[in-house]
Amino acid sequence: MPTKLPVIGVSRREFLELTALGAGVAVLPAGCASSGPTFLTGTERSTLAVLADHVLPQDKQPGGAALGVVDYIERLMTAFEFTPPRIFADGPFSNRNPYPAASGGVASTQYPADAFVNFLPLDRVQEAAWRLKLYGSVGVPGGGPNDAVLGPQKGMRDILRDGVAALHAAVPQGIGKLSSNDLELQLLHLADFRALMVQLTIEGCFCAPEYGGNKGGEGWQIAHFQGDTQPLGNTIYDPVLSDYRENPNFPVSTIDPGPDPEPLDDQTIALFTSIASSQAP
Amino acid sequence: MATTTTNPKIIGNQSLTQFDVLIVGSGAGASATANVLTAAGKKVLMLEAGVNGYRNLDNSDWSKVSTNFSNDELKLLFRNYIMPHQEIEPRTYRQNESAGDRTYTGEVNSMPKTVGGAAVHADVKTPRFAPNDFKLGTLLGPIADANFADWPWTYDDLEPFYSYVEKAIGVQGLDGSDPFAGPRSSTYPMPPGVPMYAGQLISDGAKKLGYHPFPYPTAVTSRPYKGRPACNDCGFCGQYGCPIHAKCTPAVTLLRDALLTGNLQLQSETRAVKILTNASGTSVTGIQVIGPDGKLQTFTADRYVLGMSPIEDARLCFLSSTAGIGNSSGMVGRNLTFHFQTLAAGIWNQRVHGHRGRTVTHGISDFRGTPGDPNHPMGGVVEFGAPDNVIGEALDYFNQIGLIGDRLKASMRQSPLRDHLMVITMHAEDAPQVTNRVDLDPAVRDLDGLPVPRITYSNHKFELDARAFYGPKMVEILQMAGTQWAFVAPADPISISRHVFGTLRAGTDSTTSVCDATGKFHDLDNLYGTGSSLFPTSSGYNPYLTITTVGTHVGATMVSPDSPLSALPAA
Repeated sequence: MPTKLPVIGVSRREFLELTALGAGVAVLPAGCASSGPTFLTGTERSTLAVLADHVLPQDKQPGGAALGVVDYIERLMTAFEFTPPRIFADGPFSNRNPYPAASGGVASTQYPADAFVNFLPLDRVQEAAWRLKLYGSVGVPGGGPNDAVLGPQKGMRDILRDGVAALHAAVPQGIGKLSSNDLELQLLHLADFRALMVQLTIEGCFCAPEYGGNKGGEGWQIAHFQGDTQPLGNTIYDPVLSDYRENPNFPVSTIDPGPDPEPLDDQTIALFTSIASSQAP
Repeated sequence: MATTTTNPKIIGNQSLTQFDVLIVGSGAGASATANVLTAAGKKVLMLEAGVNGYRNLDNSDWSKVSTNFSNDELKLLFRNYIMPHQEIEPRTYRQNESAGDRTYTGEVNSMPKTVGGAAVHADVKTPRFAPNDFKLGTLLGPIADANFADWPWTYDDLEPFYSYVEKAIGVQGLDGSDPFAGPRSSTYPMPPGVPMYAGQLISDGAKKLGYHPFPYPTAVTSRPYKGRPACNDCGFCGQYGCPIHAKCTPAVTLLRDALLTGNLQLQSETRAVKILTNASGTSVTGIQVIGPDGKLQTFTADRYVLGMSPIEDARLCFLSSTAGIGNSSGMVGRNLTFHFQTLAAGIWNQRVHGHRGRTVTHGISDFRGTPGDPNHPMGGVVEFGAPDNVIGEALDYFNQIGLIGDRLKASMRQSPLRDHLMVITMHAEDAPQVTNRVDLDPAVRDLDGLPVPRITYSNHKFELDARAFYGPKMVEILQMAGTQWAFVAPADPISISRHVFGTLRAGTDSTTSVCDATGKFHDLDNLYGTGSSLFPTSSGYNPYLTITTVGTHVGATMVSPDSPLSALPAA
């Protein structure tokens, strides 16, 4: 369990450290993904790790691989080997934030249990949809409902497996030695695989940690993002004052305190100047 | 690892077996109708296609009520916990009949399917429609290729119902703050909550240009209200179910009120697939459904209400009869309207954390317009709204701009499209057209092998002119608010607006409308529409409050045809 401290009043840095600590401990038991059912081979895991870092590189902070993208993908690909399938985490709260106190407009020291570690049973429609997404038309009885009209649907598992195989065929020496540009050139021949890999990498970097990615909440730290905030939220209604108290470190109605942690740089400014000038009016 | 048990598929009074009314759908209109009916002692069966995201919703003790909804971007926005899955529930689209069977298959105005309906995901803004909105057929007169019509109710007719609904569900707002709003017989039940920083910046910009920004009326608690806590501005509002029930959505307001009467039974994961009628087609005899186990079943009642959504209501009419149930007018599925949304993006040099708060806390009605005034064309309310959360932000950098690698990571750190961005949206009146319609796709099917809805839709000059007129003015507001960059975003080639209206248009003339002023189908003696399917026109305001108000009016008229106001339960 995370250290239980009232959050209102701690500094922005301290809060991020606190939420990171909470997220790190709240993650499903270490090794859960690798000790459970697996879909990916060792070679596939290595390749996907390189690609995860291609999408979000390692620097002073972790990249996609260190954030757990491969574990995130493994959990999704094996979702149906668990009961209930690991598709939708439960709610309403993780254990990263305390309840508000009954009065005073401050946080309490009471934290909810982490409901995100549990997964929800799927209904008939959700199960049909997710089996089709993961296994494709060939992997579900009767195929997809519109295979005859729109063509069969390829499942995520096959897109990943075939994509890695195609990359290995095209680059027998291994993609780890390619420059980022050369890797992009290879991926451009594998449009479906590239799109899926980027989607899954981004999800795995910035999802709730209970899904297996965003290790230690470090993806959220990269983005200066609080993550889930319930049940505390950013404001607390004080019934004595008949008004709200805002978290001074994450205010709603005023500008953030302190300096901007990472202001827009010249490249971003140039990019958005270009984008804005290309739009009408 | 602990697991979660399935939430009950049947809630409410499970001992009921005979029903006065069967309602298909559990959203805003359906729940409002059920609330009035059950308060009057009518036994009601409600069928909902989606999952039940609540635990103990039918328990009178709020401390026992909980939910699966959470601050989980992945679950709600990318894994589609409650949104339809396009692989098995697509819709199809074409611009007009000459375009062929379809030009697109996928998401077209899809809305969540879940207990409590689409409003679960909304940020539940609740402006009333204005008095003029109910008589645009008269005020605008004939317009080529458009089909404006007066509503069968005036603002004055509905005003007491608006007041009732605002109090019954809980609405925050500031009395007198919108000079374009209609007269009110009651004050807002709650004052405005905490204003978003960026909303204030844009309001200041709008004021400098002579506009009239106001705290947005919203069905979110700003005080503890009827056992629910005050909103804590968690930042996961629009597109999320509320984990603490501070959003005054149907599930935790009128639907729960109906459940607590003991007169309602709600069956979820139950998809209506056919309306059964007598041989002459004048009376409904049952609703055929596919239940949670995939098996067909039929339910009966004395009267029936369609309350899913305009597109799904019309689809069910066509699934039930090739010509369409209740379609002697030929108008079932037609006059489909959306809100034609114009989006202007503003990016500041500094962080404005628009993602923190209730998604929208301010707006203006200055662009709603005046009928027939070319210098003030009819657009819609403009809301000052928040951007995506982090997964959506990162995907925008990749999908919209092509960023990957170092620049993707730098962008996530600097966050121009989240921490620096606000988007203001005009929900403009969409001119109704007979040719804009819902029917069944001839070949594309859902998971049960049933034809999916096909949307045939093209814009009218009416709304395109409003966009051209007001788009630059929206940019001016953002510039005046201190943004570094401001521009109008390209229009969606295929509408994804969740504001959908028409298909069962209500009116007094049975040759030009589907339902009458009570909501009853002209052609059938025991079938009703409710909610936004009945809307003759789209107005230019967010629809949740008016959907609920119309649904309340339908229920009240079913209970007391001569004096519907007398049928309203205590708010």
